[in-house]
Amino acid sequence: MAQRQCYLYLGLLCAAQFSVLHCVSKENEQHFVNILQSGKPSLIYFKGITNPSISLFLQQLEKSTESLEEYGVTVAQVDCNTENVPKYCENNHVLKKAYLFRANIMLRSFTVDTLFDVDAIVANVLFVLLFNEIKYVSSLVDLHDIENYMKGQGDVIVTFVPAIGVPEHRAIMETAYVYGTKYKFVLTTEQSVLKDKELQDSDKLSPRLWFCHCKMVMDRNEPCKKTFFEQPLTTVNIHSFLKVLEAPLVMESTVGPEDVSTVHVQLKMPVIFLFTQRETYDHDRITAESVAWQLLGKAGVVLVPRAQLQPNVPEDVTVGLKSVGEDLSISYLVLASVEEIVNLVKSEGKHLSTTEKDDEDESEDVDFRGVQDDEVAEAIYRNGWRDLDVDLIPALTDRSFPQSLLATPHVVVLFYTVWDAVSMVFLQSYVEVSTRLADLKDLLLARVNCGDWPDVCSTENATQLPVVKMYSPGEKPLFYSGMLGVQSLLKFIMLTRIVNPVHLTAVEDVEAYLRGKLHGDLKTYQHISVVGLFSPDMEKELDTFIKAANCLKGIVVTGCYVGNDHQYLSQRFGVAPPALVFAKHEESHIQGVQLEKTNTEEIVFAIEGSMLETFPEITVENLPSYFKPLKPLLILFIDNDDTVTLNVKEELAEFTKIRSMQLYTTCWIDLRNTQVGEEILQIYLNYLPQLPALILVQLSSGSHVFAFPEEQVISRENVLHWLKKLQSGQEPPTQWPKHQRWNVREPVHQVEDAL
Amino acid sequence: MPASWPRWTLSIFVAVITSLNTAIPSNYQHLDYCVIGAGPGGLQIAYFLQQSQRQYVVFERSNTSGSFFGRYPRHRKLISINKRYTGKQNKEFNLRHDWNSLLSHDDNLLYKHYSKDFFPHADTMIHYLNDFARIFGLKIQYNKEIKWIEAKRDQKAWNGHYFFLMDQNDHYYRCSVLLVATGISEPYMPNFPGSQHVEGYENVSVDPADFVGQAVLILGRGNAAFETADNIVGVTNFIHAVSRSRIRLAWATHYVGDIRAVNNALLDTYQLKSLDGLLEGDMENIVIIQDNKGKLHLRLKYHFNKNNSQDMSSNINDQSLLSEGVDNLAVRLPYDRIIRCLGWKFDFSIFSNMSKPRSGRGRLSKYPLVKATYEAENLPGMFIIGTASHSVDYRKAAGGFVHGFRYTARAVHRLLEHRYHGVHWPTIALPISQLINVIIKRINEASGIYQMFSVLADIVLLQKNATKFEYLEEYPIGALPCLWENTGKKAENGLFVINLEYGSNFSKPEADVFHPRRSVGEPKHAWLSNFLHPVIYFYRHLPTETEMTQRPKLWPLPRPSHIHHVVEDFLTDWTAAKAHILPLRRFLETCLGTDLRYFFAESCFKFALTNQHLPPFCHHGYLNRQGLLGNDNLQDRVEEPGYLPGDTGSVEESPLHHLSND
Repeated sequence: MAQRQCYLYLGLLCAAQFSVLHCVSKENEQHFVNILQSGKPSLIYFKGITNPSISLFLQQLEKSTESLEEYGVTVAQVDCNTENVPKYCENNHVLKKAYLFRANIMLRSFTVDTLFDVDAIVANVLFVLLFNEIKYVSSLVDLHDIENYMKGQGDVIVTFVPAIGVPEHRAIMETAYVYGTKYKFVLTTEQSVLKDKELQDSDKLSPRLWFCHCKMVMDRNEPCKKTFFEQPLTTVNIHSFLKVLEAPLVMESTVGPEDVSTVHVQLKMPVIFLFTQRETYDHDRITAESVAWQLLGKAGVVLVPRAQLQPNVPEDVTVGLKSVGEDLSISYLVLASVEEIVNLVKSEGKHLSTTEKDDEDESEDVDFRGVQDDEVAEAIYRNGWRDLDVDLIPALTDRSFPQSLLATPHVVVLFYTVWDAVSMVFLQSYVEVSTRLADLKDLLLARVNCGDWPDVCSTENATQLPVVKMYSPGEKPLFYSGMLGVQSLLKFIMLTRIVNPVHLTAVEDVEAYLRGKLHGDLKTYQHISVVGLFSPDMEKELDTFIKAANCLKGIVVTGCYVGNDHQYLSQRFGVAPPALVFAKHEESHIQGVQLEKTNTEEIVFAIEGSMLETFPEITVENLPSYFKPLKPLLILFIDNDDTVTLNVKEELAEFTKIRSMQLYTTCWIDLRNTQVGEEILQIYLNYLPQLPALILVQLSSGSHVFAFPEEQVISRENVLHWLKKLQSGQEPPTQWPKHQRWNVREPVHQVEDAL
Repeated sequence: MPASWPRWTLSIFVAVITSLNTAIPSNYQHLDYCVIGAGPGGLQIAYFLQQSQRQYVVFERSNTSGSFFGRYPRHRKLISINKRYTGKQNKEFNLRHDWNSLLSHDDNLLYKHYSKDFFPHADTMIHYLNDFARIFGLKIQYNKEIKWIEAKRDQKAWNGHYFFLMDQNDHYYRCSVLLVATGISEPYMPNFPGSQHVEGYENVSVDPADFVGQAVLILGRGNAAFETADNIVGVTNFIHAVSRSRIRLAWATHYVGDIRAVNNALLDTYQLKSLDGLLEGDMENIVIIQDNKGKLHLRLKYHFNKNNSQDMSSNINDQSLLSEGVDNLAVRLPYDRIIRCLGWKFDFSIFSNMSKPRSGRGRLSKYPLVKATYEAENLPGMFIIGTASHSVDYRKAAGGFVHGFRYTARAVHRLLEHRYHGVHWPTIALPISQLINVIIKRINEASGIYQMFSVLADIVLLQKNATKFEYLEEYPIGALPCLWENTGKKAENGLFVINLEYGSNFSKPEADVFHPRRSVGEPKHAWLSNFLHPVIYFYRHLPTETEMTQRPKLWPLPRPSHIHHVVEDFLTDWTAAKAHILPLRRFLETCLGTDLRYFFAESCFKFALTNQHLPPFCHHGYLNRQGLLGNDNLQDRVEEPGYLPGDTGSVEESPLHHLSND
C-alpha cells in the first residue's frame, strides 16, 4: 500500500511539467523527469521560502555538485513556488529536507541541518548509497561479530568519527566507494568502540582508523591483528595507507639499499634495511617480520644481503635507514634490538608531525567550557526574562503571606528564585495562568521569591524550586505535582477549587454528572467522569472512597452518590453499590467496577487506570503516564488524517485488544502535534520514511529498532506476522547511533598549588 | 572582679577544696547542662538549649546579663557594625552585615531595633541582652558566682565524669555537660620594673579634661589602645603608643579584631608628623623609671641591666640611668602618664587541676585550648562558648565576636543534640538535580559560613550513584574526619565542602590591599580571587585525621580530588548564569560524572524515546510528570539559527560546527 502510494506521488511528479528552475548542474532546460528516469541517484531539494540558513545550505549544495557528479549523483533543486509537487512541496514554509532518489524510488530524506557543508553532503549521500559496503556499528560486540565473520575471508577497515558528516567521514566514504568490494568497511561514532584501544584522553574525540588483518586469521579464536593509521584522515592518506598494506610485509632485495625502490619510497615513507647472510637468514627473516609488523603503515622493511653493501659501509652495522627528507642517502647504524629499530622510526615521525600539528592546534583550540549548553538557561538568557513583567502577580513577604491566606478562599503560591532558569521559565507560564484566571474572585495567584524570603519558603517546605502550592479553606495545602506548563497548571487549579468528591443527591444528578452536564466548566479539564455509588449503610466504603478522592485532588473531580436505589443503579450501570462508574465524554459507553473490600490505593489506581487509554496518542505532556521503560514500544507515526492513516489507526486500535499485544505499549504520535517526533524518527532510522510508519522500539535491550516494511500495508494480520518474525529473531534489529550522548567537559583548570 | 583576687587567698581556698574533694558533696543539684556566664555567648547557647527543651541553668555572677558591657568598652562605642539597611529583604543575608544580634526565631530581637547607630552605644547591648534573656525566659541564676569547678569520675555520667560547680555560697551543682562562657575578662598585666606606675585601661579616666597638656604613652596596639588615644588626641601634647608587633589593620588582614578604621585617628597624626607616634618593643623587656619630678621614662631592660647588674630593685629610681645611652632615643622625652591597654585573658583560676583546660601557646596563651568542636582538649563534656573559644580562629575569622560565635554556639548545640540525645545534625535530602540551586542559595545568603569562613562550612553528602544528596549546614571543618561521630551522617559516596575563603596571598598585615590588580573578573581566573569567595572541595572519601594534620600550609582542608573557586564578586552576588552557575555546573558534572543540565519537556520526551538513560533533570522531573514546558514565545526564540532545541551542543556536535566553518 505504502509503496503504491509512493509511486503515485512520483507519477504526479513526472506528470507535472517540471522546469528545474535552478538546476545546480546548470542544465536549465533538462527536465526533472529525465533526472529521475536516468536511473542514476539524485539529490533533490524542494525549495519553499528561503531563510538565511537555507540559502547557506543552497550554497553548500551547489558547491557539492561537482564532487557528487564524480560518484554519479545528480544534484538538483525544484522551486515549489512555481511547481507545486505534491507531498514534497506540501507546506509552503521553509522546507527543511533534501531527498535522495535512485531511479523513481526515494531512498532517504535528510534534514538540511545534517547537510551543513560539502563534506557533510558527500558523506551523507555516499553513506546511503554504500549501504552494503560500509556497516555502522554502535558497540564493541557488533564490531567483534563482524571481525569474527570476516576471519579467513577478508580484511576489515574500522573508522571512528566523532560525528556523521565531518570531513573524515567523507574521506572514509570516498575510500569505501573505491575499495568497497575489496575490504569490509565499518563505521562508528561511539567512543565505547575505542575503549580497548589505549588512546590518550585527548585523542578520544579525534577520528581514528584501523585495519584489522582478518583474512590471514585461520583459527577463529585468534584475534585479528590490528594496524592503526596515525595520520590525518584524508582520502589521499588513507589511499596511501592501503597501498602500503597491500605491499609485501618484508621485501627481499637482491640489490644494494641505494638501488631499492619500494612503494614506501614512492609514498615518501622511511625505509628500514636489515642486513642478512645465508647463515642467519631464517633468524633475520623473523626479526624483519617483527619489525615490519610494528612499523606497518609507518615505514617499509627490506631485507638486503650483506654482500650487497658498498665497501665504505662499516662491517658491524645492522640497520640502514632511508629517511623521508630530501636527502636520499642512507644512514647506517648499529642497533641490537627490535625496539631500538622501531623507536628510531617513531622518533623521526614525531619530529616531523610536531611541526605540522602546530597550526591545527591553534584552530582547534576553542574553549567550549564557557559555552552555555543548557537549553533552559540559554532560553532565559535570550529572552532576558529577568526583566519579565511579573508585577501583576503579588509578591508575598513573611508578613503578607499569612495575611493573603486569610483574605482569599483559594490561594495559589509559586515559590521560586530568580537565578534558577527553570523557575524563570515557569514564571512565564504562571503569569499566563494568572491572566487567564484573573476573573475568578475566590482565587488569588501569588508568588514568593525564595531569594528574598528563605524563611517563608522553608516553613512552607518549599525546598525543591520551583514549586506551586495551593491553599484552600479547611484543607491541607496541596503541592502541585504536574507539568510546569500553562494547561496542566490551569487544570490543577480549576479542579482543586472544587470540593472533591462532589456529593450528588439524586440519581438524575449522577447521570447528568456522568454526561458532563453538572459542573460544565470542568469539561475542558477532564475528559472522564467518575462517580462512586454507595448506600447509606456503607460508611466504611464511603470513607475509603473519600480518602481516594482526596488523593486525586487536582487530577480528577469525582462524584459521590449515597442512596437506596440498588435496583435502579444496577439496571442502569450494571453494578450495585459499592461501585465506581466511569464515563468517557467522547464515548457514550459507561463502565462500572464493583468495589469490594478495596483500600484507598486500589481505588486511586482504578481511577487513574480508567483515565489511560489502550491506544493513546503520545504527546510530550502525556508520555510519562504511559512510559514503561522495560516494555517495547510500538509507535505509529502519522502526520495527517487521510483515509490510509485513519484505517491504519483503526486496525491498530483493534489490534491492541488482542491479549498477547499487552506486551507492547502501543501508541501513535502525530507529527503535527508533536513536532519533535520527526527528530525521533530520524534518530531511529537515520532517514524519514513515508508516513504512516510503524516502528517497534526496545529501549531496554540497548536501543533496538525495527521498522515495519514500508511496502506492506499496516493491517492486523501483517503486523502480527511481523511481530512474530521479530520475536523469533528472524529480522536483525538496527541500532541507531546515539547523537545525544552527554560528556563531561573539564571545568576551568584549577591551579591548586596557587593556593 | 576575680582579677584582683589575691593569690594567697586563692591558694588557701584551693587547699580547702582539695580536702573536700576526697568526699563528693552529697548535697548538690543535678543539671544536664551548666552554662557559666550570661554574656552573649552564654545567652546564645542557652537559647538553643531552651528551644530543644533541655535541662540547663546559666550561672551569672552579676545581677544582669552582659555585665561586661556595663563598663567596656570604656569609651562606650561598640565597633561591631549595626547595618540596618542592605537593600535586601533576605533575613539570613542581612545577618552577614549585622554583627550584634544573637540568633533567634524572633525578628523583634534584631539589633536594628535597639540602636540606630552604625557603631552602637555599649548600653544598648546590655538592654538587648537582657531583653533577649527575658523574652525567651532563659533560665539564668543571677548573682551566682562559680568559684570552683571540679571533675569527678563516674561510670554513669554521659562523659564518664561529672562536673561539680561551687558558687560563692558553697552551694554545689553537678553537671553532665559544662559550657564555659565566661569570656576573657582578666586584664593582661605583664610584670616589669616600674609597672606600678602604669594605669590600666580598665580604670583610667575617660575624661579628656584629665589629660590636657600631658604627654601620654600607651602600651598596646589594639582597638582599646587606639580608642583610648582617639579620646584624648585632641588635648594631649603628644601620644606615643608602643607594642610588641607592628600594627595590624583590619582592612589589610580582614580580621575584625585588628585595628579598625574607626579608631585610627592616631595613625593619621603619626604619619602626618603631628607629634604623635608608634613604636615597637617587647612588653617583657621594658622598664619604667620615675624621675624626681614624677615624670615617667621608658627604657629597655637591656640598658637597665647593664648599669644595675648588682641590684635591680633598689635602684629602680636611679637617675643616672636616664642620662646614659644614645642621645636620639625615640622615647627620650618623659611622659606624664602611661596607660596599659594590653587586652584580656581567660580566667583559668576557677578550675581544679583536673578540670582546668590547657592554655594555648604563644599569642594563644590567653585562650583555653579547644578542639575544632570547641570541646576542651583534655576533658570531654566541657565546651568553651563565646569569645573565649577564639583559639580556633584567632586572627582569622570572627569566632571571638558575637557575629561569629553565635554560629559556633549553634554548631556546638547541634553536636550536643546528636551526641547526648540522638538527634542527627539537621539536613535536607534532595534529588541531585537540585544541587546547583541549593549551593547557589547558600553561597549567596548564608551568614554562618560567611562570618566563620574557613571554620564553619557546608557539606554535601552524596548518596549512592549520586542521584540524591544530603545538605548539612555550618559544620566545623576542622572536625571533618569525625563527621559521623559528630553528626550521625556518613560520607561513603563522596562529599563536597562549600567554604568561603580570601585569597591566601592577599590578606596579611602590611599587604597593599588596594593594589590595582586586587580582583579578578574572569571565571577562568577564579582561583586567583582575592576577596571572600566560595571555594568548593570535592572528596571521594572523607579526609582522615592524618590527611587533615598533613594538609598543605595555609589550607583549611587537605588536598581534594577536585576544587572549584567561584570567581569573586564585587557585590558578593554569585547568581550570574555564565560567570558563576555555568562553571559551577561544569565542576559538579566533572566530579559526579552526571549531566546536570536542565531540559525542556520536549527534549526529555526525545531522550525518553531514544535513550536508555535520561539526564537526572528529565528523570526526576519529566518522568515524574513534572517536565518543564516552554510556551510559544520561548519556542520561537529557541529555534533561531544557531540553536536547535535538539542540538544542545553536545561535545560531538560542537567541534563539527567549528570544522564546517573552515
